[in-house]
Amino acid sequence: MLNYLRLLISLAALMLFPSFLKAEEHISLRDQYKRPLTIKFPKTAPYSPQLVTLGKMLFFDTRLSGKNNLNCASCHNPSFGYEVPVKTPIGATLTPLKRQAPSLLNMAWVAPLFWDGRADTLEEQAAGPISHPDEMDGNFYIIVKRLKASAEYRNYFRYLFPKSGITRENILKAIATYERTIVSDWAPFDKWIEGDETAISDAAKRGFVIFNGAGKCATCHQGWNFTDNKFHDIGLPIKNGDKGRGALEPDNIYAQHAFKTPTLRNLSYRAPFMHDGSLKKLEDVIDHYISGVIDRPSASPLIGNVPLSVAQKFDLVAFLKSLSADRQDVSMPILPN
Amino acid sequence: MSSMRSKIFLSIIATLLFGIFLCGFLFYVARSGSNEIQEITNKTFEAVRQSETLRQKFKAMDELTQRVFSMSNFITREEISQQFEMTNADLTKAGKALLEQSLSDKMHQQSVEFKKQKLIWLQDTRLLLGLEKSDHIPIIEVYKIRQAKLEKTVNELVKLAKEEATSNLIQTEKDLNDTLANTFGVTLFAAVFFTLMAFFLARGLSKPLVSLVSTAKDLASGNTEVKFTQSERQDEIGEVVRAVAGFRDGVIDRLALQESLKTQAEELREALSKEKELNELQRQFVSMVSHEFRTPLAIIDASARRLDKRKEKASSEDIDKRTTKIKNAVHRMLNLIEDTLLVAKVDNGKLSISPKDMNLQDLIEQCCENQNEIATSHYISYDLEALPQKFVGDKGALTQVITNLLSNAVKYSPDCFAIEVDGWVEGSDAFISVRDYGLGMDEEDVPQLFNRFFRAKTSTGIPGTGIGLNLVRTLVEKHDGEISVTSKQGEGSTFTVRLPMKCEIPESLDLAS
Repeated sequence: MLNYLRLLISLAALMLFPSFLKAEEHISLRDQYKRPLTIKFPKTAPYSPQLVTLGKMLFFDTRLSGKNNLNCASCHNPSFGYEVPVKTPIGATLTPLKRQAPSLLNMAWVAPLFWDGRADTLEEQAAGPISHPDEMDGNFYIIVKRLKASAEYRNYFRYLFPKSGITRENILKAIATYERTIVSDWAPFDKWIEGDETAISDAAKRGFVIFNGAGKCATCHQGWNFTDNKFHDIGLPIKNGDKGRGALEPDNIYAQHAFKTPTLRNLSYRAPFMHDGSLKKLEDVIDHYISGVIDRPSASPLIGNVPLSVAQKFDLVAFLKSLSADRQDVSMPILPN
Repeated sequence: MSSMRSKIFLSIIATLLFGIFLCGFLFYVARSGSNEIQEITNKTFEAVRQSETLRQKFKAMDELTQRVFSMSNFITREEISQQFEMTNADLTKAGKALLEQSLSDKMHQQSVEFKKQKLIWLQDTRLLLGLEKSDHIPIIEVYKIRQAKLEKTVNELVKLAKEEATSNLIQTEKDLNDTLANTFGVTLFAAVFFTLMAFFLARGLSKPLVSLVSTAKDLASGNTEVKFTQSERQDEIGEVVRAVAGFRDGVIDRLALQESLKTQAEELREALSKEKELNELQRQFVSMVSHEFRTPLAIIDASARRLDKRKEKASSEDIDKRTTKIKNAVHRMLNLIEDTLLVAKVDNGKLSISPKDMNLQDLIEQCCENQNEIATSHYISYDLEALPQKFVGDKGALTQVITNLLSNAVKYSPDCFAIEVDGWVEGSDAFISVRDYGLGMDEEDVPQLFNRFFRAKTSTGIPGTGIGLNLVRTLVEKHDGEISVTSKQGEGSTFTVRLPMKCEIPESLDLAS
């Protein structure tokens, strides 16, 4: 609450004395973007490097798909910000899926999951794509059977779950635990937040102000992970009659065609954008908010066309690009035979 | 009493002590310096070694974490734990060993920082390796950043340790060099000190001796005025000097006695020779007087006999000639007596003059006329116009002066007819000169001319007493005047009298004074 008040005061002051407040306002705003230093693991799935390793193996193991042809990384490719560089990924049916694969970055801080938030935990979420016929088309009975065929898997599971061994829950737990360790790396923006003034360009700093002010971006893309974990209809054209959150909350007008606010971390590697992958470039996304928002009853009251100049747009892009860290070296696990 | 021997003894002791001290000092400096350098060198090597170990252990730990964090291989907790504990133990050991090298505040500060960072890092490592359970596990990226920071701190620490050791080494070397330089300075000082001491000692010994030798030599050569500069010394030399001084004093007394005896003898000898001289002069005087009297007496006798013999036959002219001869002889004798009496008066201090107003010109003229009358063989020409009519003087005395000078001129120019008398005035003095063209005299005789009984060498064969000129001078001096003479042998002499023209002359003069 206090933060909001501060933000309001800062914004008001900025409008009156734009040049005067620059530094002061930066500092007060910056506090809201400080990154957490630890990952909180649930008591049901406490961290251990062995569990993470097992989860990583399973994440990259095609044995989890019905036809042994897909793994989690098929749609959540680490090289593309744990997404895929296509409009929407191709699943087991060899047809594009309805929605883009959401990034797995910083999932430990995200809930509920899926674009429409139908899963409360990562474990629950993980089960979805594995068993969905359009996606991996897997069957846990068969999966467990396949894994049990591997002595190594048997050993690993027995090591970690001496009582239960290889089970659906344990598989999901392992995958979810691995996913919780996927954290976007320190971007130039983070270094700037920590006080390194040279970390980002002046344009990016101006963009930061626009992001929090005139652009109204921070209304939904809040905090260090740039998401409010909420669902908004941002006025994109409706495709395939996708109701979004509306499928879960049919009575909530604002839930119709509403999708969860995604993180803005590592945007540089995550094109195309939007839940349907309809916008190819960042500039396209900004243009959409400047003039492309379709006004309809479900449209979020927080969303509306924001008039930004070309210079402001340029600064905003510069800022958004500063949220991308260098690419992480993600090693492939050695999968059990 | 500080004797020479005790001084030398003290010097030797001081030199010995200083030498021992210097040796000890040098030994100490060299040993401590080399020890310290050895120690520092060891420390440097140790710091480098420990830092290398620390780095290796860090690398080992890094390898472990990298392997685990890649999540590519299934590594059991036990395996991780075993490797971690082993590596951690080594790491702790190496860290401790390195920190033991630290001495400076900066290093201490850095090590504190290192400990703090290491603690957090270690905790993070344990959490991430699953060796410790927690709901909150550090993000690997954070861990990596922290580890990089820690590595930087370690590197800094290692660098500091090396720097410190190096600077210590440099400092120690510098200290050692300084100390050696100081030692060199001390040695130099000592050398100078001892050289000076030896010099002063030698000088202290030789200088007084040399001085004493020269003093003694002086003394031996009879110089009793020598000064003894070192008689206050409290050592052997002082004693020698005092002894020599005592000897000198005895010599001085003896020499003084000798001198006084010599003076007395001299005085006696002088008195004796004076007496002899006087006797001789008197003897000469007596023979001279008798001779001088004899001649006129012989003339008078001869004239008288001739007159007596011729009695009636004698013509008046003849008688006149003879009586003139007698008169001249008598006159001569009278003059002689007058002179002698005057001299006696002078000798008795009874000569006095009575100055009165008189005519100097007339007086001299009269004298010249008289002389012309007496001695027809010569003609005296005179020019006295310039002389003053008025003059204060003793007529008799001045007559005596002029007459004497004129008769001398006549007497000593037997072959020359002319005698010139001139008178003139210069300033407040009247001058009278008498010039003849006669025998003249040697220049060397001139200074003695006015001494009593002195007769010039050229006067040989001419009768004279040696009284006249002495008397003249006395009388002129009574008038506060003076007489001088210029003469050349064979060319004649000029006597010049200077008489001051005074208004008043004291009634009488004490001739004795």
